[in-house]
Amino acid sequence: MLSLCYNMCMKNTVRLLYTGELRVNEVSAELLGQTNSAQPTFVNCRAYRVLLWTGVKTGSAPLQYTVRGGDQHGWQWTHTGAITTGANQWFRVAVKMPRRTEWLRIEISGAAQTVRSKIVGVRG
Amino acid sequence: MQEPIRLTRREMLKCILATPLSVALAGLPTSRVHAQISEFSPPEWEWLLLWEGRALIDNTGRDIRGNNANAFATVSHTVNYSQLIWTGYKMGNANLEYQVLARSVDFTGTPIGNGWFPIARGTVTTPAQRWFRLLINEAHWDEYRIELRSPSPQIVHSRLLARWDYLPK
Repeated sequence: MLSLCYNMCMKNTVRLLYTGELRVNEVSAELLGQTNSAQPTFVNCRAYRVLLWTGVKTGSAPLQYTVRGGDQHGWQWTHTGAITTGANQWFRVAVKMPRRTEWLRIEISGAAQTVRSKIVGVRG
Repeated sequence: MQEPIRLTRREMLKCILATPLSVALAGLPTSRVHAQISEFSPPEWEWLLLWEGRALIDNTGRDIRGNNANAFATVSHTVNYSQLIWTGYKMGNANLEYQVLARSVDFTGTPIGNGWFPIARGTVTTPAQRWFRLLINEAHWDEYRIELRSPSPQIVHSRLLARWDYLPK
């Protein structure tokens, strides 16, 4: 009964943002394949404090990723990193937002390989 | 006529715990108890029981439910949980090696890759018939597998709890 009450007046902190497969190469690509560097991958992101990105990459070469936060007036912050796990190994990247922004854009590049991944946003 | 106050067992327990012990023992109602009732609000998180039971653990890599097929998860649909607590009670003296594994799934519930992501591993060295506890902080995965190995077979009782955080709507 109490759980029902919680479900009616409270909401979960986690929301699924993306799940999919991306063919990566040396040219930096946005997660959804958009070529215009001003376009966001996700919008309405102000509620999220952490992005959890989990997945598997098929190649052994490391991948470089860039996460940008901003809005229609431009990108305000950038976070970069590398995924260094081996071929067909799982990875997990936790991106803590330095600042709440409406838009997020995720780009990835590296030696040719496929990445299957999932991103959830943690609110709060 | 005033409506009777209806309380669930959980709310009643909260009232009792919030009452000074001497007052509770005397059985006298106090204004503090009524304050607790009127100020009751949903908590920001709760602990949920995911699984409780026992299994015979040997050296074949069984999970806490006794399943030695590595492809199967111990618990699923766990993305909302921010922490897990595994408490156990082992019946034998032999050390218990554990490995906490996790993976994500796609929209259809299929894992997005083969194998598992290792979160934690270690050894439970408590003697026979003692409790142990493990806190798993790296959470928000879709599925977990807690795999155990024991050099000599022994029964291990387990209870797996998960913390579910809420936000006000």
